[in-house]
Amino acid sequence: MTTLVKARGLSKQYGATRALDKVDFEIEEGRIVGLIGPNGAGKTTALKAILGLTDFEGELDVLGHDPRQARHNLMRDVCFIADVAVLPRWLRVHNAVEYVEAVHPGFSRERAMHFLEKTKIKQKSRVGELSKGMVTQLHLALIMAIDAKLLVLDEPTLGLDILYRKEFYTSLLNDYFDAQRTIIVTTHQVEEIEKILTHLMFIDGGRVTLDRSMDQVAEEYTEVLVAPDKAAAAQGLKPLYEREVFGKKLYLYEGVSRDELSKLGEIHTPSVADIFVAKVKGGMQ
Amino acid sequence: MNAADMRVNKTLIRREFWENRSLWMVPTVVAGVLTVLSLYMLVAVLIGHNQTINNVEFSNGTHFQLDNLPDFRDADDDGIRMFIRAVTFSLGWLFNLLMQIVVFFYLLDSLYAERRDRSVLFWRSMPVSDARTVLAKLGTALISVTAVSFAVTVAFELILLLLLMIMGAAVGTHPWVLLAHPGSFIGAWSLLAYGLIVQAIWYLPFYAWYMLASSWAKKVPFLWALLVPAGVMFAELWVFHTGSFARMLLAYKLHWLQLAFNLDPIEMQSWKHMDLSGPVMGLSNIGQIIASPSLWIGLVVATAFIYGAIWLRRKRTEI
Repeated sequence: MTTLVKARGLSKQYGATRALDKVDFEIEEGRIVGLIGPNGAGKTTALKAILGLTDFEGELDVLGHDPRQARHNLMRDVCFIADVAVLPRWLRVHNAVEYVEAVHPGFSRERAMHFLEKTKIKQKSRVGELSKGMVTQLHLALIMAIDAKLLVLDEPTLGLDILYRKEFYTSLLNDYFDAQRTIIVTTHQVEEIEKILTHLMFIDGGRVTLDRSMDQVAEEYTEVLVAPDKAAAAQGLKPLYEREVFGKKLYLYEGVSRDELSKLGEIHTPSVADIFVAKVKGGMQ
Repeated sequence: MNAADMRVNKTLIRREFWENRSLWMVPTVVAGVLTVLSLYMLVAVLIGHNQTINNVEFSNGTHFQLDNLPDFRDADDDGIRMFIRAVTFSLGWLFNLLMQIVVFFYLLDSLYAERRDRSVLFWRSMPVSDARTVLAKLGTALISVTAVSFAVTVAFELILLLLLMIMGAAVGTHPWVLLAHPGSFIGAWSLLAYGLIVQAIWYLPFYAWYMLASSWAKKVPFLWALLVPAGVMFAELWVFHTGSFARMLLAYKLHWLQLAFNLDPIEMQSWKHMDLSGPVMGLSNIGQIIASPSLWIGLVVATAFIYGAIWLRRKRTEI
């Protein structure tokens, strides 16, 4: 396993607020990591640090580079889509392809054309004439045609309708991802990426509050639907979070064995969104 | 520089012309409009010639009469060289002035527009360094004020020559004699190219300053570019009651004319006595340009501004 990103004591201060507070994490090759956190939690700051778009304190190694030093060298192996609609409106589709082909040694025109042929995007069109969905398709076609080691997606489907969002992740998974590639993705629509993630990382208040593989998450986190008579016993096991559903209590546990929990009621694996809410709100209780 | 590097540089500059169509469209359109106007005048003159109403009086009292047009057959080599140089220089001056204005606005937008529409996030996701991007934009400005100015001037001059031929054929002034002096064209065009290049190098600190303003401004880089020097001038006037900064800027802006063409731009008399027939420059001019401290001070200032613009592009991804 090759470690692509290694952060030690990564910190970033914006005025009085600590966007990142001595964060440690590692991202290994072949993973799809979901970086989840509330607004202002530090996700975007962490991504920007990885991409060399912001200064920071602490150590950060991305593919052997310090991203503060040699962003342009780093970008040979790292691609990113920051939000949608950052392609300039005046750019023509064929010029965009020509540009990336000239400046990026890892770009394949055939691959880009292959992706573009599947869309309704015309070569002569300007970005400003395309729909939002088409702009994303174009951006994705350009990026997926690059043979990069690390792909960073920051809210890639923001503002897209549900059909495009589905398509986006499907084509990412089918046409792009393989064992040599690594993807880091942040989004608020957690449920959409839940099934494609291999790893999950929560950031809250500038700290990493969870960093696990999805298998570990499934092992560690359990949700139990408990009848009222067993509520006291359930409370005794120190649930992370509780809520009421149809008059029954739903408890979410961290690191409690499934055998034990199954005595209390019906158990299942919670969704990432539920774990996220539990971690954020549970932390505040 | 290897072939791949050359290709990247070429594409970065082409990218600028894709985005800023005004860099080639404005001079093309102006040259087109001037061609139409010239055609209109040609037609008017040809019709007028038949009706002998071709007497145009200029404000300075000289009369322009078609029948009095110089018959180029009578002109000597010096006269022809002077005529071609005068035409080339006035057209060159006109198109260069136009390109200076276009480039001023281009540079003010060059590092600002990409932050405003956030496309900088796309450009910076490509393996192109900030230094290279900034230098490509500066290079685009230099190409515009030199090569584009030159190409449009020469193209329009050739159009004018063609129109003159047609007119000459109608009224018998034999302008095709001009074609027998190809050396005069080559000479005038080399002088034009030389002037444009010296001027472009000379104006580098101004171009660099516009880029610095463009990379710095959170809005309206135009105001930053103009208000900062204006502020310095007013502060000086207020505190010291002097205007040496303003005078220095003006003197610098015109100094190259003296070095390159032995013209004293302040002393208008020297313009009147400007001898267009003889050599307007010699090798000694290149020597005195290189020996001029102003050139080197200007280049140092330009380097500092460009360095600042590169640094700011790295730091200011967002507006």
